[in-house]
Amino acid sequence: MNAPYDPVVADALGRIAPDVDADPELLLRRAKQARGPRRRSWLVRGGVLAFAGIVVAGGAAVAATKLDLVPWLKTKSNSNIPSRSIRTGAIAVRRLPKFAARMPDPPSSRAALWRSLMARVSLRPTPTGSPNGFWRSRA
Amino acid sequence: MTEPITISHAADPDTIETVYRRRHGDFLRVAAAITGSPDAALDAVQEALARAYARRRSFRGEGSLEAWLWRVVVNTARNAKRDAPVVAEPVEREAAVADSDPRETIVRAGVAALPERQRLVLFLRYYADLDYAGIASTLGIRRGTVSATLNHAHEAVRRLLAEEESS
Repeated sequence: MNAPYDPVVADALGRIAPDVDADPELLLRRAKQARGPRRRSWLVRGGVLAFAGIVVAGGAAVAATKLDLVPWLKTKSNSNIPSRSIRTGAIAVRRLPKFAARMPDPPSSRAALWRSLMARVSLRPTPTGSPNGFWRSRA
Repeated sequence: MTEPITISHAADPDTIETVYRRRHGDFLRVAAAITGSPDAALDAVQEALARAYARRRSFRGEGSLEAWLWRVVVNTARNAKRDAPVVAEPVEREAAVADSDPRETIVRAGVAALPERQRLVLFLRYYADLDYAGIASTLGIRRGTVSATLNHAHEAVRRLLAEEESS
């Protein structure tokens, strides 16, 4: 639907109509040139933001590791935990602070037996490392 | 009236250029009417065209490409008008106004005093020859609102002219 056209208003507006003359191709070329730097500036801005994000994330990770800000997150392997090795001959009973292990049938040979106790073990670990496999834990 | 170019896909640069070349003079006239300065109008139309190129993917083909371009031009010119520093009128401009027809001066001042929506509707109707749909799409308002606003603007300008003749 066409809008109403008021000739009196049209005449009045025609008197004050701005007269702007410009080469359309010149404006077109300038507009095309103007969009280039803008795109590059967005690329630069995005790159700076990405770099800042990486720096912040890396700094937070280092701080969390060094200052132990998240203690529930264990990043170290058990190989770093102090351990104690006992190398001895065959014995009938070996009592330890947290558990006791008994060898019901001492081996006939006096071959050396060994076991390793780790500091970070459960309350009743199953002894491992017995060459004959008859070490047993006992409550 | 110039028929708008309607496409259903994203605006490509060639189509934008086609619409721009057809409407170049109207874009400049409306932008100059909004900004009040031919130089600001040139900058606004150039900036609008650059924005249209950069944001052409945001055109979803829901209306005519021409209406979308008109929206970009009008918004850019409004922003230019809003951001323009307030400066004193140059001596040449004051002299030109003094030499011009007193009726033109009164009409110019009266139109400038209209609410912005009425001014924009008048400019789009009489300087760009847009119909209800084109004006509504450009300004993001309903056709009924365009009709009511245009009627109010007509009454205001006629009242202004009648006061000028009676004085």
